[in-house]
Amino acid sequence: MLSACRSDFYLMKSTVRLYLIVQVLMICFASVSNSQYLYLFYPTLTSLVVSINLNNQTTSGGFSGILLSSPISRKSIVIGRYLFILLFSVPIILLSSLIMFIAGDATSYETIRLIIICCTIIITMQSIFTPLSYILKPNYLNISFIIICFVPSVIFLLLKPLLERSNFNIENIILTIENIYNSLTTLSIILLVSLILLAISMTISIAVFKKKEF
Amino acid sequence: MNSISIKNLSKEFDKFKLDNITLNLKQGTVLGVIGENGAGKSTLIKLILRLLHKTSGEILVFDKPLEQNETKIKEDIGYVSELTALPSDYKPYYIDKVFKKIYPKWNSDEFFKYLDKFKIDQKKKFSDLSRGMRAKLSLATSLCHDAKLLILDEPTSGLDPVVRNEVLDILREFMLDETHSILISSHITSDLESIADEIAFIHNGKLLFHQSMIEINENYGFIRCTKEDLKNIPQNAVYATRDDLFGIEALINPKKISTNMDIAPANLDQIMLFLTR
Repeated sequence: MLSACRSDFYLMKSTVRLYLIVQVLMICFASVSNSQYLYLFYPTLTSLVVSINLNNQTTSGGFSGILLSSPISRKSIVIGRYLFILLFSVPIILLSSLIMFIAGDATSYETIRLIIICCTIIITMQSIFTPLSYILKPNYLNISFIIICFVPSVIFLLLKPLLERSNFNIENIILTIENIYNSLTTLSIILLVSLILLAISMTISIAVFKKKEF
Repeated sequence: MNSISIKNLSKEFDKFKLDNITLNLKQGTVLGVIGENGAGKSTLIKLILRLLHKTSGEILVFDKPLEQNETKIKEDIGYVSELTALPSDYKPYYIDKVFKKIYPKWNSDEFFKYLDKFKIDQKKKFSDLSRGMRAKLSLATSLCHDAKLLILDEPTSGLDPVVRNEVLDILREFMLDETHSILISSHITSDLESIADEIAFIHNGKLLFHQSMIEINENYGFIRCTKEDLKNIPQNAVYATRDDLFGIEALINPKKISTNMDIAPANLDQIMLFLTR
């Protein structure tokens, strides 16, 4: 399992190095502009991009075949993939949050809240995308990435005038989201749910990958 | 002991079927798998490595069922694929970093010794390596974990004669140990003639024959003659014929011919050409 994680790391080594350099620049920029969003947006996004890139590298390059001819089980390869993405993204989130806190751009309460939110987003998106990466071809996966990330906001923008014209109270929804955002307990429960989703996702990925042919 | 035993192996795709293959690779021997492009050679190899899932049949490696002992068995297998494809910025020394944690018997010193021997710069990007270098890197990877069985899918394809000869020398060196075996697929039949003990010929997903090189030399001959001469040869001695400008070429069984004809030994290229027509 750790061997597979290590293998993914070396496949992505130069990409990871590039992302880290960009993240350092983003932290500097965020510190200058006092923006919590800039501190954490980039590492959250890159965790998804790394996951998709990794899938492209292994499938298009034929590395899966080389790895599968070695004494490593398919189950370990899948778990190693999840582990690599989490080991790549969570420490960056923690480090960026720590710098944000030390720089005085967030209180300790805000920092913890943002760490939980970012980790929840990463875990949830990972849970959705990893099984898809084993099911879909790389091109379709890229399209699904765009659909899942951008279509909800587009739908919301299109529906907004409709909702405003009807008697639907949009303020209530925003208030509920704010309440969730401000409650550490609720955020922790959502994080826990995302972890359960991750476990389900891992089981699905293992089942799909075991049947996959190369 | 057999390194590989395959019984009634079949694999169905939408437009192709590897059909009912049965063959054995004995310990200490080199089995060459020949056939035209798309005949099913790579499919067979992928089934042995479980990169593909069989439709039916049985595969034993080192006399053990593959499904139940997959990871244990793969510790003793070295695999060289047709396309040695790694990401463009992958460096040879990464292979050591990754595989030393995967193969229990991985020998880093030997790996770097091979890189030196093959004159491969361990810090050079994969995209900067020539095709020959990539093939040698792949071979070095397969030789550094004390493998008992090498499975090579077109290892010499696209290489110049000098590099091909170097690769074959490494394989001969590997075979000095009697417990080692090689399964090698190639359509460069001259390579197989110089290294293989046995040949399995696959055509359209079916095994046409599996014979030792000695049997092939005894059973297949090549003649060039006129139509009248051909009539004097018993029909059961002729495998296939081909008309050309100067008469007829025929692939025949020399053991079934009593006349004093000038029979040349048939090489694998000729056998392939005649039997796949």
